Amino acid sequence: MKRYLATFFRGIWIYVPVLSLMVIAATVGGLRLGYTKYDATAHVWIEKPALSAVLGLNAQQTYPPPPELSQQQADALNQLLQSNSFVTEIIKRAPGAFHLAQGQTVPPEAIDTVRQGMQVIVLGPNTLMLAFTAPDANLAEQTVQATFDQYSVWLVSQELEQRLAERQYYLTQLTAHGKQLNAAKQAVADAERQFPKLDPSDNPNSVAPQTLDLERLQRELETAQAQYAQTQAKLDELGPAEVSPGDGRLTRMRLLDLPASYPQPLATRVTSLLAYVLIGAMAGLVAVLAAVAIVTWRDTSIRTLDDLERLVDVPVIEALPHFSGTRRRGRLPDAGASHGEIHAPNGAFDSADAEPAPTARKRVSV
Amino acid sequence: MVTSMAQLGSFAPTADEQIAARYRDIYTRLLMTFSTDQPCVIGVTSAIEGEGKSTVARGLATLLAQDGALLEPGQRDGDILLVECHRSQRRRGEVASLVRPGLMECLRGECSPQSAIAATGVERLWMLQAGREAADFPVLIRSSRMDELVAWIRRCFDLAILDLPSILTASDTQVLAAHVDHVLLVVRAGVTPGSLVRRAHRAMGEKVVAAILNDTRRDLPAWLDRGA
Repeated sequence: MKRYLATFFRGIWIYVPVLSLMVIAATVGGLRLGYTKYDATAHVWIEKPALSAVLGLNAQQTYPPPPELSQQQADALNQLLQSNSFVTEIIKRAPGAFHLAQGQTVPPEAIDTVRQGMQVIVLGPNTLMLAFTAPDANLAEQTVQATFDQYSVWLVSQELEQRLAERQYYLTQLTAHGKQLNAAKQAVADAERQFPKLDPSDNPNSVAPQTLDLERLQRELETAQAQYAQTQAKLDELGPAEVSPGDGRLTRMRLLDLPASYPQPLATRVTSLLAYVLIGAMAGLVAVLAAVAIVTWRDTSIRTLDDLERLVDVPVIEALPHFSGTRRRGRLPDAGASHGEIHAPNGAFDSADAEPAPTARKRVSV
Repeated sequence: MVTSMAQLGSFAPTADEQIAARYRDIYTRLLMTFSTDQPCVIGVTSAIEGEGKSTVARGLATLLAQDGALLEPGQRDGDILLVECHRSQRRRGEVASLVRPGLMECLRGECSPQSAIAATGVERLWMLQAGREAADFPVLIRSSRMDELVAWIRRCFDLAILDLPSILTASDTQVLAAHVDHVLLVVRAGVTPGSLVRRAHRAMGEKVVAAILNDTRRDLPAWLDRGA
């Protein structure tokens, strides 16, 4: 632990500024991004078409089974919210909340606000929750209501379009089958006119060509009649081309409760700012701790007496501290000597002809 | 009567006094580690360059001489010789032609040790400088002249301190270490990797009798570092 602390204090001149910078950046970001937030929610109930169980609408079994109804609607709504045109229509339904005058172009910032703030949450097989967070409670409530209204309209128009397309298909089928039926009827009538006295039921074992032909034509007539009837039945199932009140063939959506926001804001500007500052401080702290850990792991140098004693098996007799400003080159060492050079008096070492001191000559002659 | 701290002077030791106290501690503990009854040769070295071995060698020699640690009146003079065994960096402003003859010249036979050794400003302290740069330095220190020189030094001085080259930069240190009785290993704090210190210690073997950690710094504030 001491090693890590030592690493931190050695580099405190960089760690503290980095940490401070991150807190400052978070504060600046919080001032820009933080705002008082109001949250409005509305619960939506979704049901299958009322006649689906009777008519077998969407009764086709698939594997894997399709997602639940609420999940399907939630997916569709989330995809629509990515479309600028859909969000623009939502905003146009609540012009007062977005401070837009009639005919004014919807600004891109408003579109982004709705897109980023709107949440669609699946609560159950038939229930959705729409939630929107905004700086203003009124804006939040009206946006939720407008989203529900716009999606309802879109859903009805989608289902109606699909119905129209299917109707058109079956009408074309009906026309074709009608022609086949008329042709078969005409063929049977012509055969009976040509062989008026020929009745296949009178002589069932007859193999006369005329008998066989008549039987075939009658079978074709029956087939054409069945096809025509089946196509007509499908057309009847689709229902009329227009939507009428209580149309049991459309998915039903209704609000269980009106959009409402909490009286107190979800977060104030101060708490938002504090949250950003805290996040910045935590991120800075994590970065500093990670840097300290990495630097400590990579530091294989010896820093303390204990480090050296663990490394060598001889006594460590001294730890000389760092002395700053005491190196004086060329000074005579005296009492309390510095780390200075050893230097003879009068610069004798500078000259190659300097004589040794008399006492040394006397000593070295032994 | 003392009326102010200014008149009384500062009680805090000066930097020089602190340094002197540290070196005094070093030589005291060294002298407790081995006997100096006989003339002794100590080598001061380090794993790599720049760890402060020359500074430690000079400081140690200076304090030993100043304090007369080996002086025994009537028995020995307590003379100490500092031998510079490397010239890893030229001194500031030094001109090659004006360098005093030293160890290289002695080993080449160009001058006698008596003329190469010079007194310093400290009583009982003598110095044999490295001399002019020599390309044949590795050859010279392996010659018999080195043996003769060391033997002569032992006869004339009570203690010789050899400022050896760093261990891992050349094999010369191990050759010179054969002439010393004890080796003092200097390690600079915060600079030398532990792996290099371990290698250097292994290279010198049992001759290393003590180690010094140089240039330590207090990284932690005092209130966190209690008991250190």
